[in-house]
Amino acid sequence: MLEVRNLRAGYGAVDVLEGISLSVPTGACVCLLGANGAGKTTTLSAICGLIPASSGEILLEGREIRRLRMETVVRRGVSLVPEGRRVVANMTVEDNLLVGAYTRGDDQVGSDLEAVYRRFGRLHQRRKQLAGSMSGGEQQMLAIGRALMARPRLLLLDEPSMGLAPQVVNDIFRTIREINEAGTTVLLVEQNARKALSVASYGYVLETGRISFEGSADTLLKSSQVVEAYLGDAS
Amino acid sequence: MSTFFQQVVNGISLGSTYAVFAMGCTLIFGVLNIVNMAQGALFMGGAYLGLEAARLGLPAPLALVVALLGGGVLGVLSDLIVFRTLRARGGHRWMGLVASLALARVMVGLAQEIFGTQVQRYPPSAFLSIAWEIGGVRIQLLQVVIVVVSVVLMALLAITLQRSSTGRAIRTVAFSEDVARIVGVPVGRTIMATFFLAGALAGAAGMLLGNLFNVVSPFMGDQMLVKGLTVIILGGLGNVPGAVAGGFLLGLIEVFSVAYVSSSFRDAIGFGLIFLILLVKPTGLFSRVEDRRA
Ligand SMILES: Nc1ncnc2c1ncn2[C@@H]1O[C@H](COP(=O)(O)OP(=O)(O)OP(=O)(O)O)[C@@H](O)[C@H]1O
Ligand SMILES: [Mg+2]
Repeated sequence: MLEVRNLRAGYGAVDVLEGISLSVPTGACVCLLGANGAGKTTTLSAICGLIPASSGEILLEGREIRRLRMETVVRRGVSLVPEGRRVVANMTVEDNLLVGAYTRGDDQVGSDLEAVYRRFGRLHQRRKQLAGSMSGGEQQMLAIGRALMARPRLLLLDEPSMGLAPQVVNDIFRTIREINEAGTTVLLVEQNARKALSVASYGYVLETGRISFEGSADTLLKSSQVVEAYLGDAS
Repeated sequence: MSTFFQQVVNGISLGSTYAVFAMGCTLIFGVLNIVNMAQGALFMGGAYLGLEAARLGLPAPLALVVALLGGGVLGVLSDLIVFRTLRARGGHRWMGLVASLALARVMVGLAQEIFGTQVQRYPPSAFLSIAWEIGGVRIQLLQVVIVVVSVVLMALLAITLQRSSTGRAIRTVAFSEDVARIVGVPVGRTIMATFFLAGALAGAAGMLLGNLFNVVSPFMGDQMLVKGLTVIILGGLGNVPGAVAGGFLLGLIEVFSVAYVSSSFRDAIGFGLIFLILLVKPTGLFSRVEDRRA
């Protein structure tokens, strides 16, 4: 589904990513781990065209998408659930979901909205409420629902568990697993490595702009390097 | 007492044109946070376009459509010429102020060259000058039509912003351009659509006020811009219902100060009262915390 090769990207003149390569097979759930400031968000931003990549290749189903604007990337089937959720605080829950379908021209937006409401009953209860007045967990559900409204084939999630209570984190990860099992390919950025590796089949470890380690979820869970750095005190 | 009700009727019809113009201003200045000094020139442009259409023999509703669409196109042009250029070069908002001020002067200059500096008038319409007297209060059909048209425009804008896909895109861009990009909203095109809506409202307001006072001049937009700005600050920046309420309030204040004080003090009283209101409610009459930009 997604092939990234030697990607370099950053802000201004300085590259944060110093040539990273990763691959997300169709139907898989792959995670990208790394400490604060390693460049995880930068990687996702460069993949979806939110920031320009200075060099490298980004292939979506074999087609180069590196120079495309994000609106085009979304139309090609890639949606981002951004770090910090970024819901439109002064719009209602329902309008947030509907704006997620902005790129679509088909007539099934209504039935997809119903599907999101079935998945997240809480969003249905609060559909007329302003998004900014919801709890962190509810906003995370909304951010995921909004991304789903674009009917992505590849879903990029940036630290969906950040700042949420353990019970809510479990709900979110269960949802991610369900979305993946229903056929959507997932690239998951997380600091909660143990949780991430419980849904992902493969993982990459990013360290200051480079991939330092990669392997199947089992390999990563057994690797002393990964365990020490990222799984030390995780629950 | 009939003087009082007469002023209410006059104030509402005047205020409705202010409200239409102010809705456009609040979209640009408040929602998009762009300082467009050409907004008044769009108002003037709409008045002339409507006038020319009427002189060509188009019926009034079609002439209004010409003013509306023409104002919208002029709005899009002001985005293309000034603001898109500045965005591409990373210019800051005060550069937009200077550049759009220049554009406004160009438009006023062109209007002087094309239409002359004298005041022009709409062709007389026997139909619109029908008037009724009710208990000493005179109501012209023209006033009724202006209020009805204004209310229809308000409703159309509200529906566009609240219910349409473009409206949600505009609100998302207003909240954060990054968030808009994330959901796949084309930011540049959405800003252009906002300029079209705001220009159309300005153009329509120009034709409405041009008919109400039966005066069209190249300079009519200058004062209007200041009034539009005042009204949207009064109503709370970016707040569309606030702009409507503020427009009616300013219309009423002006008419009453002419009737009960003196026409020399019309603007002094209008702006002075608004200043007093803002001292008590600095964020505007209708601002709510969640309305503000994040
Ligand atoms: N908008 C920006 N402008 C300039 N530098 C930035 C910007 N965003 C991030 N950086 C820098 O890029 C580097 C990588 O940041 P990035 O946000 O990709 O890290 P991250 O792995 O997502 O971290 P976290 O886990 O804290 O979210 C950091 O050194 C950061 O300071
Ligand atoms: Mg990050």
